[in-house]
Amino acid sequence: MDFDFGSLLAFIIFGVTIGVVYGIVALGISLIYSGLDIVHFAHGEIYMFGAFLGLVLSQQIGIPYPGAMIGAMVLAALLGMFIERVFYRRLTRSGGGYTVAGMGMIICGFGMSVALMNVAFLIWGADAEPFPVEFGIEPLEINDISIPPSYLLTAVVSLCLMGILNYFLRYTKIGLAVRAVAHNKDIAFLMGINVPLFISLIFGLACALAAAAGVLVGPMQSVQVEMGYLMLMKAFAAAVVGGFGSLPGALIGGILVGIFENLGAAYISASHKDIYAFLLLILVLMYRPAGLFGVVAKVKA
Amino acid sequence: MALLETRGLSKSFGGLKAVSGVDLKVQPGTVHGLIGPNGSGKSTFFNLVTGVYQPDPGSHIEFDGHDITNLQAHGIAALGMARTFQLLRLFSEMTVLENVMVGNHCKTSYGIVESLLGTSRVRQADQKMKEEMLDLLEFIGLANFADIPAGELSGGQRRLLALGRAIAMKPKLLLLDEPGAGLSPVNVDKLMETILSLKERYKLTVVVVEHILKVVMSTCETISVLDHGQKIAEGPPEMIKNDHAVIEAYLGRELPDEEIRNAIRGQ
Repeated sequence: MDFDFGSLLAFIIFGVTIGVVYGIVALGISLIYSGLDIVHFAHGEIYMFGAFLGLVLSQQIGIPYPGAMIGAMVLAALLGMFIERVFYRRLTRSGGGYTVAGMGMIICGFGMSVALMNVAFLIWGADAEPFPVEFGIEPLEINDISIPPSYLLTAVVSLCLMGILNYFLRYTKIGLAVRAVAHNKDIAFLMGINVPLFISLIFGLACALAAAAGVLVGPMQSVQVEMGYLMLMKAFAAAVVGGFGSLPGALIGGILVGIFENLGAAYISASHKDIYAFLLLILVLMYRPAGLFGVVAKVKA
Repeated sequence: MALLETRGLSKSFGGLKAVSGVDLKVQPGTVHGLIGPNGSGKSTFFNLVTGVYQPDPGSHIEFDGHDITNLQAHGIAALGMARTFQLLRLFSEMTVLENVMVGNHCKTSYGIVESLLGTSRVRQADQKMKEEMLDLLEFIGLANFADIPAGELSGGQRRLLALGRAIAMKPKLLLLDEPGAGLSPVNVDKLMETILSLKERYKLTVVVVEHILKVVMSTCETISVLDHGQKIAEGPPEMIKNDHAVIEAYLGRELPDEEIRNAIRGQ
């Protein structure tokens, strides 16, 4: 393929738009990690549920797309909080605190992932469902490559969601309490913060973000029960590249993963598209194990 | 009526009785000292009272007229009990102002949903709270550091901030765990002055655990002495200074009187 600057730009734009979506899922994973000290392996399935919920709300019930997205976010947040209360909390309780830095929680997360996937399979079946949405915007044309409106919308909406979350965490008092919980649960508890409630809130926020990502990606690709796995892996890569627990890190990591895999697909081989994200992950782990924005190691008291 | 009262307070870890059958009354408006050799159960006592540990069955803790024996830590904090830690445990990545604002969290009058919506009531409440917190920082002398991360403060400033964070909870009872640990004698005196002025300003009752006996003897109205998890003595400083059981617990053996007194006075 001849090199030309226009198509390079287009590939980068594609990379950034999908990268921003990886970023918001990674943000959720990072949030849960800071709140509960676990990597939530069922997060991909929350994303998949979000996509299906958005599909059902907009195609079957007929709610307009933005409303369907908000609906899916709320429902996914409730689902996430339900899972946290009923399954994960039991485990943290038996561990004697709010965190178990053990295998139990990770395995429970994997189990939840499989269970959720099968529940989705029973409800919606194994077929990929199209999620057509009419945006009423003309595709953006750059050198024969047209960028569909759904991509542009995705990037804008994702960035807005991140901005809102950032504002919430930085400048509101509840956000301050969330940060206190993430920093040290015991102290936060003694400061009069209802830590279990805030862990639920963190879970809800993270799941709402994942659902938003699902509803955004739905129109670009299609919606199917196995879509969560790959998203989880990419978002995980994004979170690690950016540095676990770092909010801007998740965004930058996501964008880097997105650009990296799109350029790899364009200039090396498209059939190995999913490898490049992990190649980047390995490179970052080799040279900057804490990620680009990460704190070296979270010290546990 | 006592502000804090424990009856038969016990806690065992396996076979070890860290605290056993402690009856203690803290009168409102006083500074109450809690002393004892290392491992005598002082910290466990704090952890039991603040809800970090669950006491053994048969224990009873009453605070400000409420039975708090089985309450969780955040519930007890909301009733008006605050504490500091020997190792401070500040939120080091947050700014000084944010640290005290976290302390003030339990006084928030609005809910999560309202906060997310950012109503004008929320903004007004936040603004008022922020002014109060800046006022508090001014009083403890940290106003100039409000916007720098707590981790960048000096050791003495961190101690002040830990104190400020506890005061921000607007407590009725303040539990201090070795406030003077690691400070030079001059700084300890200064810190105790600050603590006493805070006590007057915010109308606090204070329970202090401290190893520097000179400090305890000069500031506390009542002193309780723990040894091996049991209360072995209680009374005003003068009485404790001359108590035979206390002297034995600290020194373990008989010594000529004058020598013992000097040792206990930290001379």
